[in-house]
Amino acid sequence: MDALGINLSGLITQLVSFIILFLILKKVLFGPINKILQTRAKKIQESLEMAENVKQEATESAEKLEAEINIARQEGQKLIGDARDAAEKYKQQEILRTTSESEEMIKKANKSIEKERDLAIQSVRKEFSSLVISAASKVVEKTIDQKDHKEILDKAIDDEIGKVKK
Amino acid sequence: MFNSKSIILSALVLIILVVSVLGGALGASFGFGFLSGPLPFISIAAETIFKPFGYELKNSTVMLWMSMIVLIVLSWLATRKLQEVPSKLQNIFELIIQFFMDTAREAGGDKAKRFLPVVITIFFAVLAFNWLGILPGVGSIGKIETIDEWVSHHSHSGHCSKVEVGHSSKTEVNANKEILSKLCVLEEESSHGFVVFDSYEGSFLSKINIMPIGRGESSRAPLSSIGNYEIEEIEQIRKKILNGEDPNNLEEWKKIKTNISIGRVSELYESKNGTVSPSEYIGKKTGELIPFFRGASTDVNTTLAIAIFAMISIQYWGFSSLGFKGYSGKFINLSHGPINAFVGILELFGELAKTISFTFRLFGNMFAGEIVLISMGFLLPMIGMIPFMGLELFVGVIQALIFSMLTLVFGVMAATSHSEHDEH
Repeated sequence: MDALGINLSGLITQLVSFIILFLILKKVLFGPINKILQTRAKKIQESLEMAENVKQEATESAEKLEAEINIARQEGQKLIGDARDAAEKYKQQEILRTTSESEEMIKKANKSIEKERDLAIQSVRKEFSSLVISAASKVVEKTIDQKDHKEILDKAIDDEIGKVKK
Repeated sequence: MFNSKSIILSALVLIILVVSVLGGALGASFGFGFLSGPLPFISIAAETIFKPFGYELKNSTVMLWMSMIVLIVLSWLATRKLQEVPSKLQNIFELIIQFFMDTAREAGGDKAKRFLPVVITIFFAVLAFNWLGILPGVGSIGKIETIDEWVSHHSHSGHCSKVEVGHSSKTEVNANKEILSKLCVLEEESSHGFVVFDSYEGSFLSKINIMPIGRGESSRAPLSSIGNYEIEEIEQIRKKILNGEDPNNLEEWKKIKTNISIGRVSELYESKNGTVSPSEYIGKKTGELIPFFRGASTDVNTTLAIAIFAMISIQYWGFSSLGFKGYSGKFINLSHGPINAFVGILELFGELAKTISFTFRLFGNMFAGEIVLISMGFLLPMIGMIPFMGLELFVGVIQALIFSMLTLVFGVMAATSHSEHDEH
């Protein structure tokens, strides 16, 4: 034992020193490092969980958004359809209205044209009869009395008008 | 391509190599050896550097305390300002502790977690002991023990077992016991070489005891040339003392005693390789280097202390996790037949063997490393040590890892019951 250098006082010194070293290191090194490692592990765990949650939330909101977009699209489609129907209806109505209006206007125009024509014819007849009378009186003065004259003239004018009408 | 810089550099390297080969022990056998000092005396036991109140302060204890201070200061610096994002030093400690945590979890699950403070302390402590032991100056800076001190130190340590009790009365034997054991040391260690300090007498260099550079092994003077005695003379003096003569009146003993207390080379001597010592050696101071520092793990007391600490921890873990009955049942197993009882006894011896293997594995490796470094410095001065220092750094880590890992594994084994063990 002595040749190897093992002696009791040396052994006890080294053992006691080592135990003191152990106690100090446990307090100074191992305790704090262990603590910070644990808090870090906890923090990482927490942030991982948080990330998971955020991811889930993101998926959920994306799904929600998709659904809302679908609804909006359907509504839009419906609105467009309705608008188209309404426009079609309106168009139809308008067409009906304008045709009837124009028909009416045409009718009115026709009527007024007829009226104008009748008036023109009457005035023409008046002019013609007086013209013819005056002309004829100049040709056959006094041979024919006024009354007979008028009858013949009227007949002639009527013939003429009939021709015109035709 | 060679440029002038690399040529100069390689020439320098070559010159250093040649100088160190020729200057070392190899060159000494061809007549060179201008750099080789004497090979230091390698002592397995740690040396005592001084004795306050009879307590022997060993140089390995000094190193142990220095390693403790280094470790405590480093860990205080690392954990002083703990941050979530760690600083460099904190990161290193965290990495190592994390490594042990993971290893412990793999080896023994969650129950191995409480072994960690002991395991990690052992790792860091052994690493610090090993690495600080490689520092330059450890083992080479120290005080010089004079021949007188050396002889009385060796006669006190009970090293010499040859003290015979003659036919003189008991009180006389006790009075002369010290002289007899000194004589025995002088006889047994007559060829023990002491370094001749080749300093310039009178100048300040004589005060710092410079080692003789370039004289190799021949600058070790044997004890007999310092005391100027022959072994036969010692034999005669012993006979005279045992016959009842007063040693203080013996001329031969007085002469040897004064020579030893002067502690200088008093006669020419032949060194081990047959060359006669130079005549200028006569009158030079001699002595033995007692290093102030010695790597803590190159002392068996330290490694034994760590081993005892580890084994006590392991037994404590065993008892606390299996209970007194459960754990002692591993060793004293009488209910399962004689074979199991015998196995239990073997296990008990196994625990003892573990302590011893712990002790001597670390001590052997680190002490051998020390000797390798000394020898390489002797064989190839200047450059021989460099690769081996790297090797020693590596060995230091490996030994620390082995010691702490084995503590962990033995702890897990102790904390696992037999039935649980068989299931695996």
